Amino acid sequence: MDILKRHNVRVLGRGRHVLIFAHGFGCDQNMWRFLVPAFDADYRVVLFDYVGHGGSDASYFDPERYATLDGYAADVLEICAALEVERVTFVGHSVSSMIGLLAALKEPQRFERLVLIGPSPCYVNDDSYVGGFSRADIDGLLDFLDSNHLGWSSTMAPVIMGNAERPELAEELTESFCRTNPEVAKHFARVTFLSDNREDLPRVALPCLIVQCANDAIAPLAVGEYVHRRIAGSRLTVLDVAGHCPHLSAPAETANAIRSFLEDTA
Amino acid sequence: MFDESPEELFEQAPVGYLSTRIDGTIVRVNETFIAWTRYSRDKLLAGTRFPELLSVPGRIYYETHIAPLLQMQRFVREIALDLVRADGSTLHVLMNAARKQLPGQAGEIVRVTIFDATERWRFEQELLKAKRLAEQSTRTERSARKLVEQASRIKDDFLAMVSHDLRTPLSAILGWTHVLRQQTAGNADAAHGLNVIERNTQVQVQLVDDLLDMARIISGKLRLDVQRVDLATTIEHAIETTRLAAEARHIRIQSILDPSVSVVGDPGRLQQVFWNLLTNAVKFTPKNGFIRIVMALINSHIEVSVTDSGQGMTPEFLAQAFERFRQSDSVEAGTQMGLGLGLSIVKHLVEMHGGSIEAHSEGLGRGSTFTLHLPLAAVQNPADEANTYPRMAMSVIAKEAVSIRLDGVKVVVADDEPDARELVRRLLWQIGADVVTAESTAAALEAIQRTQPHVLVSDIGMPGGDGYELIRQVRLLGGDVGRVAAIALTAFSRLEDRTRTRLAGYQVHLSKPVDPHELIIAVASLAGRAPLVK
Repeated sequence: MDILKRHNVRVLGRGRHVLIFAHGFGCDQNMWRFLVPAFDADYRVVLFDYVGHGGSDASYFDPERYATLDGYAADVLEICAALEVERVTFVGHSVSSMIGLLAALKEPQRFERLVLIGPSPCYVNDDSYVGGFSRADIDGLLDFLDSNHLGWSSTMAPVIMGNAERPELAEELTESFCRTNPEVAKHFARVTFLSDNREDLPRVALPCLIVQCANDAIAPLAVGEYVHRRIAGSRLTVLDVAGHCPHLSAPAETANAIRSFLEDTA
Repeated sequence: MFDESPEELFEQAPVGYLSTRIDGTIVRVNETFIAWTRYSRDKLLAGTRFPELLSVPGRIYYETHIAPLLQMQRFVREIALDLVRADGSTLHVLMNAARKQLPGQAGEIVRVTIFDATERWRFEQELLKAKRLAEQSTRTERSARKLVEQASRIKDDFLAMVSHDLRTPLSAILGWTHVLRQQTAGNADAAHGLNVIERNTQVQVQLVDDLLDMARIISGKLRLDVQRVDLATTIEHAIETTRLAAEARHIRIQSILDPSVSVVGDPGRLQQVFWNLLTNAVKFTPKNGFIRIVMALINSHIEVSVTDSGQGMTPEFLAQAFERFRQSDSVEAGTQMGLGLGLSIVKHLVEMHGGSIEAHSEGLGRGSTFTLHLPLAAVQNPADEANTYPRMAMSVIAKEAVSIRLDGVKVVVADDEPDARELVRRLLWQIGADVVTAESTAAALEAIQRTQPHVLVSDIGMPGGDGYELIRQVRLLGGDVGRVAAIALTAFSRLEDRTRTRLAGYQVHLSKPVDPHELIIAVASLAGRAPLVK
């Protein structure tokens, strides 16, 4: 099996140190496009898609392997092994924060630091812990995904469009942007939003950066602070932006936060 | 002319309009949207972000899908969302959005149009429901198919067991008829009674065999034990097995057979074909009639015809002669027993050999002809020769008593079924063999070690360690004892059963009901007391 083909792995840039960027639920490696230019001059940048996302080989999707986030963490480790890289910096968005964390707990020698963008160790409220969602909300999401995978109202289907301003971009997006196998998306949503990795947080012994948006409905500020509290020695950088994807909506600020973390922990 | 200002169009168009900052903060909203959602304009323009108006799933979807799309693709189209109105009720909508850089402005805006999609949503729900039902019925269908396959397997196993259970008692009846016949020589009544018992048992055996064959044909499980077959000899064997019945009614059987012809096929099955055709002919031919069987090479294929001077067939019956459960009305009521499977089985067997068969009759009272075409043997298949113990005809037992003696031959007979065990003991003892019986695998193993027999005759289906297990253990003993010649005697008579017994270590596989001669000849040849039959 060709791991690099399975995950549509792309290696860019130059430098001795490796940055692995891992996309979150709902997208693929395209979402790093505004951030990569800030790093590829000094680092080797690795991009990939999880199975069933973007340009990956969806035929490898195995509901049992991916029944928990451990299966996704195993993917990350297999990619590292295939590339023969060690002591990398793992940059994970959203659910990939926890996937990277699980991978680092399994094979610590592979990792030097973790950058967690919009992390949440648990999305569902639990006693005094406020994850932001109820179990009913998550069930509603799964039904909702069905609606948007039906056809006419689907963002998953490739979009044919002309973009007068940047035709080359349109072409590329039509080809691959956020193409997700509907079954995989629903499965990933369930695994993501029902995961609970709160007790894994204190086990991490690596330098960690948490990049938190001030106004994020998916991973609220309180959750970012919780993660910060439970990972000893972690750094929390709060960006004054709304939404869940600061690397898209505020790429310069996000890059700055990561850069200063890399330099301070070099 | 209509007098409609752009402002009025924006506010009153039957579509919700919003303009937001790139982070979703609403900066402009039209009257239609306000009317639909029942929020005040002030509330909406006081820093409210558009995703805050959505249901929770919609908000998650917005943040994980729509916002990234707007960042990268700069537009989204026809996203199904649920707006939550001020009173908490739901409005199903479709959203389109596009980013725009306005001249002279810092930052871009996002233009959003909202369409009321209530009807579409309902339709969509129906579609979803139908889709789920379809998926569910696919799953149900799949599990139903699995059940059917399972049932079919159970049926096959059941048939194999039934065959065993039906054959076992028949075996005892036939065998004891043979034993008794020799002791009642000269007693005409007894001889007649034994003949009747034997003939009826034969019929019963045939019925069981036909049923099993038909079941195998239907389930596609009938396998041919293919080898080179001398066709004239095969036909002669079939004639031999029907000769008695024919002679009883003074029917002459005339045969004209080309001795040079051979085919590739299953000799047992081919013999069955001819036996069936001849038996049919005998059945439907009145006393003093005749049957002619001709086998010749015609052009590049073989033609065999069986013609009788019997009652013939009507055109209506001819058309269905090869269908299952078809029977012609008999000449002599009561003498024709059968299930009407014979010709149907014949047709299948012939076709499995790559041939064809047809029936012909000039009409009632004018005789019938069955003509069979077989392809010539194209290839030699020599490997099978050594592997196949000659299968003898299911027999007419009133053959000449064979003059084989087994004095001094030690035999161990293993069978859990007392009648079957005693029958074999008696058959072999009668001609001088020294027989020890065993009712189980363990007892047999003990007897073999104790008596060091020349031949082992063992049943396969025994409780507590079957015949396969027995032969494995015997072979493990090593030395002369471990090399004892072995005959498997079993009602498991499928081809795969025969292969399995040979693989397990038996030299010979004999089917129950056992033909006494066949058993005696097999024991004699394995003990070196008789020339090997051909």
